Amino acid sequence: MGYLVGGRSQTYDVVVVGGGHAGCEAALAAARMGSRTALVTLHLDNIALMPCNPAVGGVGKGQLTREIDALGGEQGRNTDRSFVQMKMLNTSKGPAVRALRAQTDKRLYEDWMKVALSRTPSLELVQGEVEVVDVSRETVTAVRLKDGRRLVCRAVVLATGTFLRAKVVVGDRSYAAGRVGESPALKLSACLESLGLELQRFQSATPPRVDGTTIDPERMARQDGDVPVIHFSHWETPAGRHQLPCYLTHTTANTHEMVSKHIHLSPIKSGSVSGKGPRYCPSIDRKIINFPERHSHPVFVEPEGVTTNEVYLQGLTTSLPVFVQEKIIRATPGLERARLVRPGYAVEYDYLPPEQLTLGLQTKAVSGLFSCGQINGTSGYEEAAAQGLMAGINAALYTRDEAPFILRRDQAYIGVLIDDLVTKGVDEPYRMFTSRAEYRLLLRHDNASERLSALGHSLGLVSDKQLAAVEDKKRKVAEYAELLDRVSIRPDDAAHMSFQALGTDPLEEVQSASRVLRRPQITFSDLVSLMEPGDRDRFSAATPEVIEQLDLRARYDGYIRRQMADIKRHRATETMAITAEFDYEALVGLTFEAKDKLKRIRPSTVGQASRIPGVSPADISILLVHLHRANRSGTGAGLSDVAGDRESRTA
Amino acid sequence: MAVMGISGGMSETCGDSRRRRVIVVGAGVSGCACAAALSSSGVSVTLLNPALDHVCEPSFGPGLSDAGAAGERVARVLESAPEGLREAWRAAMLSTADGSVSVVDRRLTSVRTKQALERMEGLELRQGLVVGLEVSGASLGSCLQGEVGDGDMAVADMRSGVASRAGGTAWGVKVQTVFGEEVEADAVVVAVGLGLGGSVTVGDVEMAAGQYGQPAAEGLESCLRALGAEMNEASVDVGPCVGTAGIGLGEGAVKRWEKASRRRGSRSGPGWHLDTIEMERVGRGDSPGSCEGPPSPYDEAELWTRRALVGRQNGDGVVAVILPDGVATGEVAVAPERLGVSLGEGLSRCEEGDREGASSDAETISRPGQTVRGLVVSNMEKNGRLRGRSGEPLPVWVTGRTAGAHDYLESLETGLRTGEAVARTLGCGVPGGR
Repeated sequence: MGYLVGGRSQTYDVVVVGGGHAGCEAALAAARMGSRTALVTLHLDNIALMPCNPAVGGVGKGQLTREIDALGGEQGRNTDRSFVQMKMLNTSKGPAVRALRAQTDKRLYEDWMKVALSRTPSLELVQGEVEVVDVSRETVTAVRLKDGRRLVCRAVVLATGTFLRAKVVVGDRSYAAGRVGESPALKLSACLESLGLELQRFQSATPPRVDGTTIDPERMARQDGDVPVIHFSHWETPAGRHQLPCYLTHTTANTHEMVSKHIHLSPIKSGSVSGKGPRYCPSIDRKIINFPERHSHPVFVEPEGVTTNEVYLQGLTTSLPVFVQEKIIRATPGLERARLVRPGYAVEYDYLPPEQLTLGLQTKAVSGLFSCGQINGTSGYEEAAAQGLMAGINAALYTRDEAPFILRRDQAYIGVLIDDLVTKGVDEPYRMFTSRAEYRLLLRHDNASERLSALGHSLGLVSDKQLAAVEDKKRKVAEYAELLDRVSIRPDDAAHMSFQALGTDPLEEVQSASRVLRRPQITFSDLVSLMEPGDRDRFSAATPEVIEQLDLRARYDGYIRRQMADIKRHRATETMAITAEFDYEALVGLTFEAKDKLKRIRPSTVGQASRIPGVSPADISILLVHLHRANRSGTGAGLSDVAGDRESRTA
Repeated sequence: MAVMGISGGMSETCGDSRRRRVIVVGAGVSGCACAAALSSSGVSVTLLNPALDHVCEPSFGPGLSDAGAAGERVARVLESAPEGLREAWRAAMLSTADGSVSVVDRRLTSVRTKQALERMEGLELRQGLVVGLEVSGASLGSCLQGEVGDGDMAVADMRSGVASRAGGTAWGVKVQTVFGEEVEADAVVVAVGLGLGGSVTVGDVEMAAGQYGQPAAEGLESCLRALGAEMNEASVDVGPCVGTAGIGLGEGAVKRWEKASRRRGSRSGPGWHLDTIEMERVGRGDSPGSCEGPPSPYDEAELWTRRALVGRQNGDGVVAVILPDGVATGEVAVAPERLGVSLGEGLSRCEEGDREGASSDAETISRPGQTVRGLVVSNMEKNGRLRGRSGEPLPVWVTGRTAGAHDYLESLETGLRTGEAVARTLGCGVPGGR
């Protein structure tokens, strides 16, 4: 008989179910906001595990991680503590698509996250399997664990990842597991269904890992990290460190032949995987089925950490039988002698179609029940962590009877992510891209703290000192920008020579420094050297971060202004609130489909309503006419005051 | 057919012209020790584990031994271990000056051991859940689950315990994983802990598992029985872990335990008292990645809890041991063997005591205590080798808890000895602890 504290209930504000990237952020956010929080996980030795790519960030995703950090979340800091390579992507392209990406030591990533969790007051870690969410009057009251414990709580955050009714699959073989070698959560799904929530199946997969001592780096292109390193976190600057290289190789006709020859053995073809898989992170099987015209795909060979020889083969995701995996690997240049260490595999699991959630990530069916991460139909650690942070914040606010914290699409990628999920739903695992954000020139990697840290501070997640640093930088940028407007560059002989040397037309008249900086050929340091010595000195104290902002402002000012004007123009309808009880049946003229969708999604603003697939501009006009009429008549029918609260919080 | 295990390097040999290969099923404490010993004897090893993120993860708490005088035994066992393994354990170990209490940081043991194994010659780690085992020529039908692949398996026949394979290569055993992979070798060592017919009981709930959170070694049990193995049930009680809000056994936690112990003392009689004992790190303090990688929590001296609590009762000696569970965790493990049945009660009282005061850092059971049950092979030879139904020696060994070891040290020790015995049987050298 095991030892237990028998029959005792423990009382929490928030219980988070799952200890992956979503669950960790959710638990930390709730606890840091003062909620008595428990994080329940199947296995306390698997906290923040990276079961797929040992990496954080990338285009679209890196912005999410920066935003998480700006709001007081952990992912950025934790990545800075455990990275083995850091790289700024798309440096030759526009600022909207620049993003940071880190390779991490996956074991170290887990260790540091565990340290962060275990040192957080009012957060308790509990190992166990949640089987039941107790609900009374459509409101969460407790969770029950398989071992008999009952945790009484006001809010529950589901962050179960791929573990619900999960099985792992290779070829025609499968067994019940949340990840290879780990027991799944088999009972919670039935409970959620009994609460009126609908679940569907998705599938994801991971590539094989090989022994890094058996690859041939000479036959691949070495890729090193950036020097100097730019970090994810706004708050900490860890010591400089040695970085590990990655290698780039490509699949060949031989690789493709191996896949084609055995494609009938793929679970996708044989039907042993039923759920839909990620389109944007496709397996090599799928790539070859879908793009027969392409004869080569890139394969990135990435280290899994400093203490292991294992390397990750990004681009060779497959769930073909293991002997085929070995053939595929060995048909790829540089990997001819590679020894397989972990076979790739697919995992199929239950997800909760996210239209069942509010913008605060709370289920519409059950008060106090929140969900975040892969269970919401997303893929990626960054998407998971972003939702985790928001679900944790909103669970904490819910327990204090406060209005939810919602980020708009023009404020953050996090806003885009959640609005997309709950408004449009998902028909394949959702991944963030810059193209999903209509205001991406405003939602940059470099201005996340300016956009969000004041909000994080108002929630209690960003300290006074941190906010002061952000405000200080903002003030300096404004001061220097003003100075750039006032400092002039004169068209003298020296300037003439310099302009010629830089390959740009000479000045014809005196121009402000900010105007000169708009020329693409002229960098900030060029500009400073063109100034009078007295002016030059006034910029000597500007930090690289401040210079980056001045640079971006000067060059993209026009575009940024246009996007801001765009936001302003749409703001009125975008934020016009609709109550949760709004009676769509009473609206004459709505299409049947629109009515059906609006009733199901229950958008909280007209902007959100307009993005629902199947709701046309004509439907929105009808809705607007009704809302305006109701507003004028003073009945308030349809107009919510929740939006008012939200505005004040997000202003 | 997916046959792996024929690695590139065939240079080193022992006995004859071909390098021997042994499969070790299970990368727990004993499996890793066995694999390390085999490797240092010049044998190629394929070490299989269902989850490579849990290689050599002591899953039954941080205490190294039940039997007292651990320090002396630890030193002796580790002295005979191959260097990489020895250093891995020492780096993760804390011990009192008199050696009466020794604990490991479970996580660091895992990371360092895996790193050490990866560096050993001819040793290949592989992720795989083994479900079937076949011995060529043994008096049983195959218990493999149908073959996948496009090759053909040579017909082998038994000669003096090691099969010969058409084409001149001698193979004795084949194992199959849940994903249909097949590995062939000269011999196999089964080191699946209590995974044979394994179950974990927490409270009133029993679940099939080799250890908490991992699948049981289904399939292997029937294969071993078919080969003639006889088994008895064994079990181990694993004490609970208690969360301490990140401070391990800091001053506050010690005070709380002392308070609880005084309360307990008033009921149990005056002979009961709680001692704080200090431990030191045994091995070198450098972290695995300190020269080239990012700093790890193990680099931070203040994260190491060097304290343990020992409860004693008049005449009965030690009756309670409360140990830090690791650097990256705020947990504290309570060793159950010395606590008897009153542990649950004592713990619950301790918690209630805490609740009277501040609730923010009250201690909660983070991992409930559990009873792990599984089958232990009873009729193997002294060195772990199995004999077939008609008494013929099989190329199959069992080791560690599967062979009846009671704690990590016994698992380490039997793992090493079994590895050496297998190597000797295959005609390879005995490790000189290089």
